[in-house]
Amino acid sequence: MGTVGTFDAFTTARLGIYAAHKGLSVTGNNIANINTKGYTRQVLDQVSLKTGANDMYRSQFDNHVGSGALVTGISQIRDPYLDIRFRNTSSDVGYYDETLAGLQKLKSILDEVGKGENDGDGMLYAQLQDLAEALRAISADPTKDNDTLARTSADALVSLFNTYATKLEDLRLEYVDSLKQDVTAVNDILTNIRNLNETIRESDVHGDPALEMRDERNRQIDALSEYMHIKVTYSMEDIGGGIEVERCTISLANDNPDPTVTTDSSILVDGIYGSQIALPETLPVMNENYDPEAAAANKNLMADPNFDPTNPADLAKLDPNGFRYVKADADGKPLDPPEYTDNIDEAAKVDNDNYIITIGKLLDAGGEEWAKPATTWTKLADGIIGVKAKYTFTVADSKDWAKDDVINIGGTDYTVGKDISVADANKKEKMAAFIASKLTDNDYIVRANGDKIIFTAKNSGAVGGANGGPGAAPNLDVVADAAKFEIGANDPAEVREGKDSQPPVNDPDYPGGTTWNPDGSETKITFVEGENGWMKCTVVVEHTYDVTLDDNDMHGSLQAMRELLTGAGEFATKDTVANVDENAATERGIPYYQKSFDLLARQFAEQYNKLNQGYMVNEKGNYIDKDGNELEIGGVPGPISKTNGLSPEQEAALEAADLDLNTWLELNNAKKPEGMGVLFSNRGDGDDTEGITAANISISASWDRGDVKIVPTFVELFGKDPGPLLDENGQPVLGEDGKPLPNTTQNENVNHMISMINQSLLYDPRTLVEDASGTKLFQGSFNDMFSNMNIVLGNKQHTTNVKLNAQYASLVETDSSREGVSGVDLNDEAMNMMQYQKAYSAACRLMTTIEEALDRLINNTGIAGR
Amino acid sequence: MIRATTGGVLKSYRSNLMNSFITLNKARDTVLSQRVFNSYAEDPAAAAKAFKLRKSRMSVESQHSICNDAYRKYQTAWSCLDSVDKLIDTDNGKALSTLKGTTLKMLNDPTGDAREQLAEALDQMSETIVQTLNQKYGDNFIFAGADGHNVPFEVRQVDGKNKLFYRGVDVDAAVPETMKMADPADPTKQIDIKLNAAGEIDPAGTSYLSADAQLVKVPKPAMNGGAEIRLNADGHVDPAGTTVLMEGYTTITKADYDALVQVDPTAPETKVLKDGADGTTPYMVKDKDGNDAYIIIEDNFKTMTDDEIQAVEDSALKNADGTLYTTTDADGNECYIVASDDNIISEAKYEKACSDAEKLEYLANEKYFVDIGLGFQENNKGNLIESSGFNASLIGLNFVGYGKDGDGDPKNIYSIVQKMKDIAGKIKEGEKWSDSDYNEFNGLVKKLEGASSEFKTAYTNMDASTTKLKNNLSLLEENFYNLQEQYADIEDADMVESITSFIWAQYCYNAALKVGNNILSESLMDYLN
Repeated sequence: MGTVGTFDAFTTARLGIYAAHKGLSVTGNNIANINTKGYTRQVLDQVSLKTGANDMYRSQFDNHVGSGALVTGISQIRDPYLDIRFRNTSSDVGYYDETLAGLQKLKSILDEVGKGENDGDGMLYAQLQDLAEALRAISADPTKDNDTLARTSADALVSLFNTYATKLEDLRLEYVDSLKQDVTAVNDILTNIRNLNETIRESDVHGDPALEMRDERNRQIDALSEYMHIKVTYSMEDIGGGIEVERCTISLANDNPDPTVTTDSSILVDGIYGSQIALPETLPVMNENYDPEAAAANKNLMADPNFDPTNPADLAKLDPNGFRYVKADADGKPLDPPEYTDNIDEAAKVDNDNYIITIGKLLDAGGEEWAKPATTWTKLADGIIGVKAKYTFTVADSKDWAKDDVINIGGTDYTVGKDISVADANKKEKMAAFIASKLTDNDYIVRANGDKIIFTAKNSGAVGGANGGPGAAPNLDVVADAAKFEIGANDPAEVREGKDSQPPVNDPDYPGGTTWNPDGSETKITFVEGENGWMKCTVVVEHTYDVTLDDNDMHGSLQAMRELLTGAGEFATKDTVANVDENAATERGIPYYQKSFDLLARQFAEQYNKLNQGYMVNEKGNYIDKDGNELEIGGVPGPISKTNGLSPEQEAALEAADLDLNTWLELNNAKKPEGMGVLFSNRGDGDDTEGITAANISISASWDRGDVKIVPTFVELFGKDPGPLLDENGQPVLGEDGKPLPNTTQNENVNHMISMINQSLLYDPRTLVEDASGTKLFQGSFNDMFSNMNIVLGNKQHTTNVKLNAQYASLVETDSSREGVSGVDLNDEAMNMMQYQKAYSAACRLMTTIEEALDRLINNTGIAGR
Repeated sequence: MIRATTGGVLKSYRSNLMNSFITLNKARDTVLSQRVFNSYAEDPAAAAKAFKLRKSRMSVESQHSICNDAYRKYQTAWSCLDSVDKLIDTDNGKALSTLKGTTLKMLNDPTGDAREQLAEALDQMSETIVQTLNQKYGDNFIFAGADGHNVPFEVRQVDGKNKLFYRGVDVDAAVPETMKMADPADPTKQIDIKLNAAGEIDPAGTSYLSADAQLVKVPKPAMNGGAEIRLNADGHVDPAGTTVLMEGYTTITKADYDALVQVDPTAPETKVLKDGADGTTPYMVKDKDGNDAYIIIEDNFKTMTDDEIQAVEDSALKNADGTLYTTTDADGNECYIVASDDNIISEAKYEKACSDAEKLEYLANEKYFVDIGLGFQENNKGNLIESSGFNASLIGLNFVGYGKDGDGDPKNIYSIVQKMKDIAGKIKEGEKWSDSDYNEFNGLVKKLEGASSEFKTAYTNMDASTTKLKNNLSLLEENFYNLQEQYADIEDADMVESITSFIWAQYCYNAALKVGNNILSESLMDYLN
């Protein structure tokens, strides 16, 4: 029969009360945090307590009863898989949401559906038709009034171009600011996570699970996942003393489809170290031939003590491919011929037009750089361990010392009774200790051990001092009365010969030092003399570096913003496609629409400027000179026909003269029509047509002044000025402006202009961007081109919306699932509350019961007959 | 086991409530805007199509305006031409007040009592025709072809006569009919006869010879026995005479003569040329059959004095080497050319006439295209495809005629009338017509009728164009409404469906709100004691 502890049950009851109380606290905490964002449901970890151990002599009748419940901790209910799913989807939602927001802003600028008169005639569409109508009026009656009407209409049209361009540019600048703000927001999150990691780590060390901080960290990670697709891993870190703490590492999620790119898994946070991202205004010009191996070789060369950085011969040994950047000249441009450097401050800079994001080094809160050392020890067979010489003297006797006796130690007199007591002087051990304390030696450490005075060489090595050993054997410099003090006869009684240390020179790495590796790590090798031989200590220290991300390294709202800011579609240069982003030609952000508008405006201006310039022909369609005579290309008889084109002979003659027809006509005083000139220019106060864009297209100053007008016809009847329109005296008939009246109101040129409105034209991105990857953006009329821009935008918006809806539904579902695991449910907590409350009551009741039972035992047992 | 937590349920509810609200909002937008889509993103293809249709409608509006203008112009033109038509010959029975009536009246007025007044009336009527054809529609002259800003017809005084000019070109300009000769280099070709500065026929010359220069037969003296047959003052053959008998005389054989004399000594055939030696003996020659014969003095008996022959040769055109130039007339006779100053056309004059004629030809065919909704497209050379535009040029020339006919008479109505007026003006008041004037006038009357007929044809053709414009206007109007209907079909919402959708969305949203109230209402907590 087993024994029963009298008060065991009290402990059981007490533990039950504790556990139930704790359970109620946890339940209360859960209920209190039901609305706390990111809060994870907590549960009580409770185990059954068993005391004692198995005893081989235990009675078989001794039945073990547990000792109650023990609260081992409080934990969170969380499903890591759902976190991963949530964050992956969150970055998708972030990406599509940001993209859609951008597209909607573009739509609010470009989309003319439902705008304009007649419930949706549009603005640009209607204005183009308005211009066509004004041109038709000129065609029917080429008066000055109708020209003014057309100019007013064209002015309204170019104003629309300007307005659209301004709005698009404003949107672009708005997104630049937004991107900068988001970079700051991401950096705040990264800093928060790093700080939380540090705090959680400290809590871990002290055994506190820091659940609330983990919740906050999860919330911050969730927020980060909207900005960029991340990968979160947790590992255990040995901090020594057998203690391991959790380390949370966050990196980019390897999204770049190019397998050769490694920057897409750059680490953002690693435990207590965190990085910051940046959107630099400029980027250093990279050395295209950079070779990590050459870089490591250069560093190793420069680390050599014999390397003189001022010596050109030494500098010439450095491999140019081992430097990351191209040096800048005085203007900040790359040096030509190029020189290279690793100093980013010396590097040439280019504008960060592609809004490339960089990631800084991993630093802790104090700014200390992340370094990951890995140490390996290798025992070496070679080498000789150095031995320190050791000489031992024995105090054979020390007696009869009386007060005021003198003993000379190391040249100094010491008085017995004053420097050492008489009693101590008469003890060998005490005297030995006294002498040892007074002796000093440059080469030896002197100490006493019992009655022995031991000289141990400070350094290993043979006596003689050649290799660091003592210069000579020690001498016990004590002068005393021989009757009172006696040193052993054979002193030094023990002699250990010193031995020179001999390093393992046969080891290929000897004598060690620091070597830089191609992966940026450094290997430090040292050779250490151990007790049992020489050891090689190899420490590999990894560092982090500033990383310039590749164009497609990220996914999430930041990347969506970047694509909105950089997506030029068919206008992306071949160089960009080849070296920056292989998808650049299909990414259409704000620049695509800006450039499309520019191309449309330029095409419009070029076509109409071209139509309003040229040379006069007679009624037969032949070019004429200023006197109305038909022109002939020298040596080729026959007129130059505009209608039929050049004859092969005329073409050959022009080719021989290396002239095009227009140049030839200009040089040969071909007649030009009255009021001819450019209609559109790149600014309103001039006639310059160079580089017309949607932002700068204007009515030319000459048209505005009235010096230029829409030329209705390039035909001058009968080749004479003013042709047949002569008065009775054979003098030209003059108009109101004093100029000879034209002899025709023919309208073939204005008819060209009318048909130009609907003419199918090729829009070639290369006319705007020389090295554009696209060759054919679109073919169609001006209206069609604008419509195409809207269709591209509309389709993209449509598909993005569909994707966003799908991803958002998935996100909501995942979040609900996550809530299902980690969220607080009132019913659940109500049940817990009842459960713990009942358990608490029951434990209390148990205590009362035991108390009653013991009362019976103690106070009411064995009192029979009392 | 999946837990449905309070937070999870709320999140899910919020998301669904938001979806429900978005749906409601969309349905509301549809009802308020009455449009199926409000952005390209909602239906890119439909939006693009709707804009194309709207663009077409705007074009049609503009084309309708142009077409309407052209139609009005044609209507005005029609009125003008109608009044000209009436002025020419069909003024509702008042034939005498028309050109045709007046000319007939002049022809039937042999005494010439009212000729001056009638000529004046002709002048006035021709002036009226010109003024009518100078009418404007808006700011543009209707009948000016492709030059609406300048007066098309202008009457100028040239050499004291009224000449009509169309856009500065003489309406009677024609390439002058010139006399031709065989090309010395290629006798199968005919080239213009050119005169040099000395008035000699010279291929290197620069002046032209008009086709109406006079051809004079080369005088050919009759020969007998190798000598010219000369006549004395008595008309007898006398080698010393100064008159020469010309070829072409008629003979009678001696046998016939003798027989005839015996029968009727006074017969005409018995009047034969006598030998001057005695003045009585018939002068004997050989006829073509070699018989002895006498020369009959009758119609074919022609003589010329030496001076006369010299005068002919002097007036005839010579070659540059001084020899006389001969050609053949229609009957194959060898002729000299006798040219007056009027027959010699200077190079400048000739070229001007050619140039003017060319200009007239161009002006008569000038085109002026406007866009009235027929497509208005250019070919790949940048030239308008003519069938895609409407040629709105009304060319006055084509109505009243231009150039000259084969007789050298003007084809233009005004010029014909002016010529008539000039002929009538030559004759003094009260005098009778000379035959030649009468015939010429009469000929011009016929030509006026011809020109009048041409006018009517052109007038009728223009009427057809007016009808075409009118039909096109109707078509454009129809197109306008069709296009409106088409894009309305694409853009406009079906209100029954839209309102139903809206009410359904509102119902769903209200239901969602109600569900939300229940979600938050109770939990186990509420039942704890």
